[in-house]
Amino acid sequence: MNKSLCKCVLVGALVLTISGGCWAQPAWAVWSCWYWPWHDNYNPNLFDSGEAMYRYDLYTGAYSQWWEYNYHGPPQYPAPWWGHCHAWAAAAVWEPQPEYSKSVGGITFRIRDRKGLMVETYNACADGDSYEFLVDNPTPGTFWKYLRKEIGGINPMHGEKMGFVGELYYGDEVWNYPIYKYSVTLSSSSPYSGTIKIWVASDGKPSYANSTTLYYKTYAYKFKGVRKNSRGDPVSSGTWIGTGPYSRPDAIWRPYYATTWMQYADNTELSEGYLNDILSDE
Amino acid sequence: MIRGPKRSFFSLHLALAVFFFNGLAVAQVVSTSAPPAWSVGDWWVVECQVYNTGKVVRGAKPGWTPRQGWRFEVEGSESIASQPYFVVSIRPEGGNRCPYWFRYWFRVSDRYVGRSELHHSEHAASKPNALKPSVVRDDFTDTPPGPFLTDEFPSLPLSMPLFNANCKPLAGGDKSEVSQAFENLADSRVLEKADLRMASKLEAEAGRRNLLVRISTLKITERQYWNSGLPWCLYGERTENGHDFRRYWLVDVGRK
Repeated sequence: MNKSLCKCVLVGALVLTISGGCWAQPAWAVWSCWYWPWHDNYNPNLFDSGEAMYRYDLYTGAYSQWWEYNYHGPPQYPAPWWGHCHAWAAAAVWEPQPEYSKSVGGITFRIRDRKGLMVETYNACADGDSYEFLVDNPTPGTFWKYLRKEIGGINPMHGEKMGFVGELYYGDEVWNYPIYKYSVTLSSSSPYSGTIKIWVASDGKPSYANSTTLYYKTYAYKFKGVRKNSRGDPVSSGTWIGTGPYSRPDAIWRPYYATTWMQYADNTELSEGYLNDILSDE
Repeated sequence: MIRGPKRSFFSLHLALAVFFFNGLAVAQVVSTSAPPAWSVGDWWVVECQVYNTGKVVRGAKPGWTPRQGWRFEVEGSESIASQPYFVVSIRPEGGNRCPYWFRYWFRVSDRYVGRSELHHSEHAASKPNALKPSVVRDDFTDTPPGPFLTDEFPSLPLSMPLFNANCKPLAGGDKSEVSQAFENLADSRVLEKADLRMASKLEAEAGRRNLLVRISTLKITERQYWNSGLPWCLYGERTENGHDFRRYWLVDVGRK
């Protein structure tokens, strides 16, 4: 049974989280999508007729639509907010955005279908043993350190800037987003206090799945007590100010890069060769 | 006249008691330790499992992930800033899905980690946009020496104490966030933590010094059980904010 249920943001719930808009996307950056809910009353779903799995099955003769309905759909009794946000957020930091429709074997895969399949291939990426990093309840210093390192490009893990995933609901709910930009305003002397603002791609509207525009939201977190080391890097220190669900990030993480399309795919009706036909750009 | 001898008698007992308890303490907590003996060609395998809290995926069941293997090998020695370092490669082994491998430079004198490299491997996958083979190097030699502790690659248990060093929290820089402490251990306490595959090798090392090493920050505590005859700790575990994070075992050692 699939474990990868995910609590994602619903249309209309975005008002809680500060601001939104669109952004000129750097080449390395992340992409927006739809959270592809499991609940049949919130549409579209990946298992709907005409959507990604339906088209995949037309091309391959597989039963991925059936699998998706049964294991990522209504038989799991999902809450309305369950979906694929963790898989989308991970795919969006690692994979180039599908930017055009592609016809394969006479079947047209729209941008939304190619994004949907790409998201599905990352569904098992957060099962615990494939993290490049996972920091639960990061201190302000640790969060700032990763923002500088990975997004600011100051000695990044892979030698170049890239985004990472933030689980941004401080509490029991799970809302994952790809973080791609940040700014910090802070006091002039150590220990530092100030505000960290982050930009994340959004998955809040179905239309985002078929678009190449980067729709975003921002979060701002106030902190105090952060120190730096002799290299100028923030160290694990400080405390967040406030206690609400949007007062601080709940966790930050990024999985290993998936070297095959099937590495993290749990839909057993998918296969490497067909996915490559559909998802590769050449 | 009477009280004198009584005082002396009392003082003698007090002195013996102080000596006895101090003696016990000295036998347990030690100030430092020599590093493990390594030579070029030495290799060892460590298996690690991470506790999956399920926190970032709704509905995930918390629990320990399957063990993942890492093969360490002392590939050679190099000089950094006129000081000799062992160069150790670390590669995923068995079912380990990590698509990268690593090199770490450990100073011969104290195992200070002075440099690391992350290597993107060649992939035979059909996926066209796989990571290109490349190497990312990080030098740490501009920081004050201290124990090595990182939150990157949680399934790779690479925490390393600074041997031959004062155990007090080290002052200055980011290392002020990391402290270490050494404690002598009995054979039985190390044996009970060891993987069964290491039992015979550990018996061969009986009588060697056993150590419990604690490496700590505000949120992280790493406990490692070392035997001075073996190249890596026999068992280690990390807790973060008091919760299980990972545990790891030395499962094989050898020489090329």
